Amino acid sequence: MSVLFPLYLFGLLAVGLPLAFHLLRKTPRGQQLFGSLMFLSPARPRLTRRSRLDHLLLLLLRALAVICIALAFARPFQRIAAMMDLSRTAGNRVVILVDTSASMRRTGLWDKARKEIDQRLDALRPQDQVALISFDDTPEIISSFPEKGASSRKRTQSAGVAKQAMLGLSPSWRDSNLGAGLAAAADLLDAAKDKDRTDELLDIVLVSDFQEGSNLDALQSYEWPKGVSVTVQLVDPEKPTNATLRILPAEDDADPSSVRVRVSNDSDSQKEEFRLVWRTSSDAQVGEATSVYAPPGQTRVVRLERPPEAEVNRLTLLGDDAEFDNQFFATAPLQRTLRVVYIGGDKADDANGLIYYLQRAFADGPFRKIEFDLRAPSEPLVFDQEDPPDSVVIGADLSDSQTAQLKAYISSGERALVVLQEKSTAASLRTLLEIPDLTVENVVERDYAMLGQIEFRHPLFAAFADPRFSDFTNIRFWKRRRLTLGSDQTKSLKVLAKFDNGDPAILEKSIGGGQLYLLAGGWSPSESQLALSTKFVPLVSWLLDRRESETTNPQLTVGDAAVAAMDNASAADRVETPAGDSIALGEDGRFATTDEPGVYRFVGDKLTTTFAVNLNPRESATAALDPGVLEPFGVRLGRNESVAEKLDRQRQKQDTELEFEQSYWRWFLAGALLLLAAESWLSGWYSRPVEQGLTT
Amino acid sequence: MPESSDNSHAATTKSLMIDQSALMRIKNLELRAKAVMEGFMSGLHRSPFHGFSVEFSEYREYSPGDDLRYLDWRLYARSDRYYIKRFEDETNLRCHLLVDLSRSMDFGSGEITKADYVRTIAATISYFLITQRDAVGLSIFDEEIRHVIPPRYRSGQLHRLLSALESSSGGAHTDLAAPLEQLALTVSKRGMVVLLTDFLTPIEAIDRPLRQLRMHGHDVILMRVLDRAESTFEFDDPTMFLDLENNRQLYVDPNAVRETYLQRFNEHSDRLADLAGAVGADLITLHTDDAVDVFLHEFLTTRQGKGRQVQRRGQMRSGGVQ
Repeated sequence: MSVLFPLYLFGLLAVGLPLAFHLLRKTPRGQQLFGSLMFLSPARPRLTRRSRLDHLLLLLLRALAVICIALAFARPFQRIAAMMDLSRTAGNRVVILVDTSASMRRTGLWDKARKEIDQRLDALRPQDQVALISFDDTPEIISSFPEKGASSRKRTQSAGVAKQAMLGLSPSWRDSNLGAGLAAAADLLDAAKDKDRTDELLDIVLVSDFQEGSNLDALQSYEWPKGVSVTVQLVDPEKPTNATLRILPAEDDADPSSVRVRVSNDSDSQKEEFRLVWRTSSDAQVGEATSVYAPPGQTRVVRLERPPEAEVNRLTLLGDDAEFDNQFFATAPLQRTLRVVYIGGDKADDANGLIYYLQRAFADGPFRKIEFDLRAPSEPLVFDQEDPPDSVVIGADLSDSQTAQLKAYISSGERALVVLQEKSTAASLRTLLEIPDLTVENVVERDYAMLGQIEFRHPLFAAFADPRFSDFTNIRFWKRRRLTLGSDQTKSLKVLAKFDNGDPAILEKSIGGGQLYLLAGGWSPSESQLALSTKFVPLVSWLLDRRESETTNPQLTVGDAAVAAMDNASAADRVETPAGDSIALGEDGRFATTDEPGVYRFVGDKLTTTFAVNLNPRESATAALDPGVLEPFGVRLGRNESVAEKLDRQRQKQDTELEFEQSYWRWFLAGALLLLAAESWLSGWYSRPVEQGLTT
Repeated sequence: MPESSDNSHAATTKSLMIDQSALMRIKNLELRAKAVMEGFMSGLHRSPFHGFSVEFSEYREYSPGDDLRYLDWRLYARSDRYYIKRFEDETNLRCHLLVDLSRSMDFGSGEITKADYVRTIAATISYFLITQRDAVGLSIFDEEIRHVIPPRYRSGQLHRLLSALESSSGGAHTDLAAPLEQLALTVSKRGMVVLLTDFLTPIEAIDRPLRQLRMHGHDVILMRVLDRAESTFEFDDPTMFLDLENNRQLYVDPNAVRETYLQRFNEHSDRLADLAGAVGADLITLHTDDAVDVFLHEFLTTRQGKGRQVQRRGQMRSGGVQ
């Protein structure tokens, strides 16, 4: 015989109460009226003891009633042997979800996690089945549940398999996508659960540092399966101070020799002062360390001079406890030299010429240096095949040979602009545009001409598509060229803008892999207001636009794909990783396996470029979250209990069911009522003769 | 009994309160006032006024204007001096019954309460005095005087007294001092004041008013009526005692406090007796289980003796002068 609520058995002590009441009699009874209490002083009520038990049967009935009530409350039941042995019942399913994100690289954390997992696996019963899933930015099933039809021997070995698989795991450099990890584990449990069983425990044991930077977005749209609970096993570092650094993207007008560095200190940190040091690829310190003071939970931005040495590839933070996010890799800013060839009769300082304005439109920036190659109209358009200019602007009439050379240049995938001049003849244009009946004539407007019918869908004008910027009426042309196109055989000529009288103003012609642009009017102030308008710089920048995007230094994080950013993607054929491995590149020039932070190199036959890959800044937010943040997503949090405790809980559940079926408490309660009825009758019977004795 | 024929109600009331056996025992006795009384009728009691009676009082030297009828010619003949003969007047009694009917008087451990007992005594004395042709007044009080019937000797007085005694019920507290002071202020003529109460009140409070009454020449009789339980405290079980006057509750174990109670009670009684002796008032302690007739007979007998004694002493004094 067992009881469900043993604490109620303390109620049995109440057996003493009838005895105590029997022996102790509280005597004050009734009231005595009295004339005046002036001669009386108060006395404390005294309890008198009766040392003799008067009505033993009555006492016995009362004691028995108390015992029955206490037993009824304790809910006794009879254990049935068949249900006793829970260790032989069917097993449960557990998914061990281990965090392998970069933050687990903190000192001692991974060892702790391993020890915790080992303990969990050791505590499982043979019939329990376990799977192991690791997650960083993507979840990975390391060892799954045994197949449904697997042999019983195999089924009992899942813990061993998981333990073995655990040995091969180590933290990566990627960030923590906890939401995806939980969803994967829940899916695995939901798919593997035994649908015939209702008592099967489905538990995910999450072994993680549960950092603030964990990405839980995947849970937003995920419907958490019923019956799956998550037990969070938090592993926390012994020293919580963690700060990180990040070099911020350069501003356009910034001095390229200095960088802005953001130092963020974690809210759990215990230190406030850190140092920043530049290091080379060979880990040698360059220059003096810079002190930064950042209180816990706050961020400071400092400006640092970047040492001119080319080998300097990272900035290091010193002074915190967690090393994994203390380096920020930065390649030297790539200032590319862009060459623009100009053919025209005007001089560079001629304010009525074209090049005067073009030079000012193409100004040097932090990442580019523009070189102009000014050639006389008679000079040949001969370019270095290895290093062709980035763009060509024609401001003169071309000879046939020049026309052929220009066509060849454009065909190789470049862009060129031809500005029609007063003296331009149609001859070279006919060849370039492949329109035999093309004519050009000079037009001097009596009033002025404006641009109308602009093709804003074309990338050249896309920047002006917004109505705020689409007003071109301020640009007036006094002198222009009228192009009569005639019959275009190739249909490859596109009119991007027309003058207000319908004459073509800006045209595009695709030749080979490149484009030729025609402008039927100059931008010098003698011909138009184009050079003086705000539209001029964005319009001519289009010529170098492709090159610009290639020269910026994107900030990559671990796991991001890098694209070979060389003149020609096919020119780079492999990537050298920071670890020294050489990985062949695919045809698209993409490199997606940036698995660790560091400086990578695209290596080609002709040129080598570098790019830096850093940790995801979210990963540096290492303060531990409260597991309760999972609950809004519908995740059912389990109690962090051992297998023995779980079995205990299961046994308790079983006991409750047994007790409910047997319901012995009803009998005890009925017995108590009978005893009390008997007691009432008996005490009535006892008191009757006493009254008679009093009255006689 | 002229009042008994007035109406049947009065007769019933009277029969309820007047102790007939007591009356039978004392019908031949008189209630004599110890002190000198000032009445309006000639009666049994000595009067401060000199008038025409048989009782010689004193001689006084003649002064012009005195009534020559009272000149003692014989003394003039002997001593050649003019003396006027003065005679003691006898008058009726003005008796004030001061009856305490506060709630504490409702206590009674036996069949009758102290209030019932006091009513019986007051009614019996009233009847007795009226048959003696004395004027009887009644003041019923608790913490103040509730009902006043001035002393009169006239038809219907007994009826009024009995009705007042019957209809009055207990008030709240007892305050002896205030009614006594009030009485001392309002009653100018000397008379007999009979105070019927249990005196369960601080003695100090009644000291001054008693002395005042005596100063005014009143003959003060303190009749203390107690329940036997109050003087012996024969309770056994520990009980919650409820004060009848102020409803104060007190848990009392009689066995534990009896000794202290009796000690305090006796001290209180002693002090009351001392006070009565000091002011020259008679103190009579009665218990509700005492027979009224026995008490009244003894009281009147001793009283009569005292009265005569005083009378004789006065006669001797006047004789001495003579």
